[in-house]
Amino acid sequence: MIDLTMVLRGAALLRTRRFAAVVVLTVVAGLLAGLGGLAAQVVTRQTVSSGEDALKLIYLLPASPRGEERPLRGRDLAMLASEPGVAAVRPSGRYGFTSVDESLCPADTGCVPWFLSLRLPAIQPEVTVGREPVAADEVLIPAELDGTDYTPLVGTRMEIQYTFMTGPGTGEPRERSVTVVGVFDIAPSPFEVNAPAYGTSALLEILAAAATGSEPDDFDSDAYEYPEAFVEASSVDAVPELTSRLTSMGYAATSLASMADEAPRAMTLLNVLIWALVLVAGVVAIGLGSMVGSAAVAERAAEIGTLRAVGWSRGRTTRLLLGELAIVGLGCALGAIVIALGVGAVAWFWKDGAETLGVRLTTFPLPPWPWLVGVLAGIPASLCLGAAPAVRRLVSLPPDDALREL
Amino acid sequence: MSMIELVGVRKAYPTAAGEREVIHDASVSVGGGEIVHLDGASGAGKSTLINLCGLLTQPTEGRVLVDGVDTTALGDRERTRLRARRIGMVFQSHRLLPELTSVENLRVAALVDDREAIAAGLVSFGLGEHLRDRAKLLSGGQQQRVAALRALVNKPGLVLADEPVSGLDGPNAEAILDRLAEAAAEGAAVIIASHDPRVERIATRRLLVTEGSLA
Repeated sequence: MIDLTMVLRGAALLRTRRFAAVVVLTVVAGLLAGLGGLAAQVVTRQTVSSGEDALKLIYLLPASPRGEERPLRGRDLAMLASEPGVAAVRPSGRYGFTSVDESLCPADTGCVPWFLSLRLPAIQPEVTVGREPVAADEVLIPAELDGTDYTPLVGTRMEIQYTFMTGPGTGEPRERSVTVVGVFDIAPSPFEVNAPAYGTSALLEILAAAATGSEPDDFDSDAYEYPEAFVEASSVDAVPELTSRLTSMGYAATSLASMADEAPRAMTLLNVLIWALVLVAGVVAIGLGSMVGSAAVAERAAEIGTLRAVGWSRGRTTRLLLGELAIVGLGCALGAIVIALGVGAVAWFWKDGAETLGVRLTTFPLPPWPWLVGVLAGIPASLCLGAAPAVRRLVSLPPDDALREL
Repeated sequence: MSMIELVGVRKAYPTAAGEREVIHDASVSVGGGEIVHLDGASGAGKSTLINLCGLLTQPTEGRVLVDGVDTTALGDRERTRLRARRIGMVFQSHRLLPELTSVENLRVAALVDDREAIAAGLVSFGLGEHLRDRAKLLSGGQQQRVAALRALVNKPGLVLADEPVSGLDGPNAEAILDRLAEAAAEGAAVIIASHDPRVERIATRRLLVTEGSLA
């Protein structure tokens, strides 16, 4: 059909004549989609499980930001367990260890410490391979860390080394054999460092004892001051009152429910910045698309007049013009998606840099499908909608007037 | 019955200083087989009359009848349909679509998209070597030949030509005028607006346009 030939020919010509504008539109739209993908994928909120078990937890620290101190002694925590509204108290902390087998560690950095804390499934990542630890010598480790895949270790014994304190600031290495019973995917959390590991309270006590220079059998857990603890409320409804009561007792207590609403300021600002850029890019893309569409039609007044003069109806002429713009817009959209994938690839391969900004990408930042649909539909739409007033005016003119339009 | 009839047609354009009348009370009738030469100086109103006959513009007053149909009472869709089916126009400055080929320019106007017949028509008109050339690459004479064929592609009952041979050399002008004469011989009403004396060779009637008036 001659109409299709003209649409394709016209689209190619439009792309050539308005090459600079088309390129700018494509790049802007690509940034729009790419930033949109990053914004959707960037973990800017601290990951806290929103399950009911997590919402029952209250986090205790030895000191509050205001400087009030109440040590988390074992015996005091045990007494807390009998407080009304308390279902359980779980002392915890972070205790470092490394693998004795250097072959398990990255060649460039060597063995870096992992930090063991109490396994709390409600607020920690799920086990992806393996099972939960139940015995004193069982641990969970990350499935991948610094490019090393630890999944093959599941079900195997691993020799670990930790420090047994012999005096103030001095210690000696101790080794122990543990079983890696499972691995997990690291997720950002307010309770985690970069290399977390999880174990039972029994293993925690062994490492806590070593930190105080005590053998496990001699460890006085009642007197030990734990670095942190989790109080489990009997119900979610009881959390606010219980938190308030713990605070009045001098504890630095924060409910996980309230922590879920807080995001580090830097991450929030970054999130806001990304969305602001997305908004700006969107406005520019739409505005530019409208300008290109409108100008492209306006300069073809004589051609429109000729078509009308040889018997083309208003509808047929309109379809031709908008069809050309839609094809050009679709080409821009496809180019934009390629650019968006490029933006995602840069962010993905620059993960370390992104992490220094407090942003962790857990998966390749593909633009979510609504963004892709928005780009694929939005760019052609902006071109066509921008051109619509000019198209309507020119096809409505008497052909004689259109032929004489400059 | 006449193919085209103007009855008391007046055409005026609005200007900043008020209305400017370019056609005054024009009445004329042209039947099939006739070749009417509209002669007159530049700016006399020849092109405006052609455009009125071709339904490219509406008269300010009066009626324009094409094949007996009062077009002033028609809507845009009906007038467009008439232009497509019953009227063929050779524009001043050819008005080809520059990025389309010769064949494609004819297909744009053709009611039946018969590429072979269109190509054969171009070949018979000496354009066989330029079927796939884009219009912008053709010479002036070649472009006007293609424009003439476009006007005749649907064998219209009314053929209008506005300065069809202006600036053309002898062979090109003769070829176009001969083709217009053929159309008239086949029953079309042909009106040629031109101050080129070569048109007189084929004209059966001459009308002088003077400052918007027909004589």
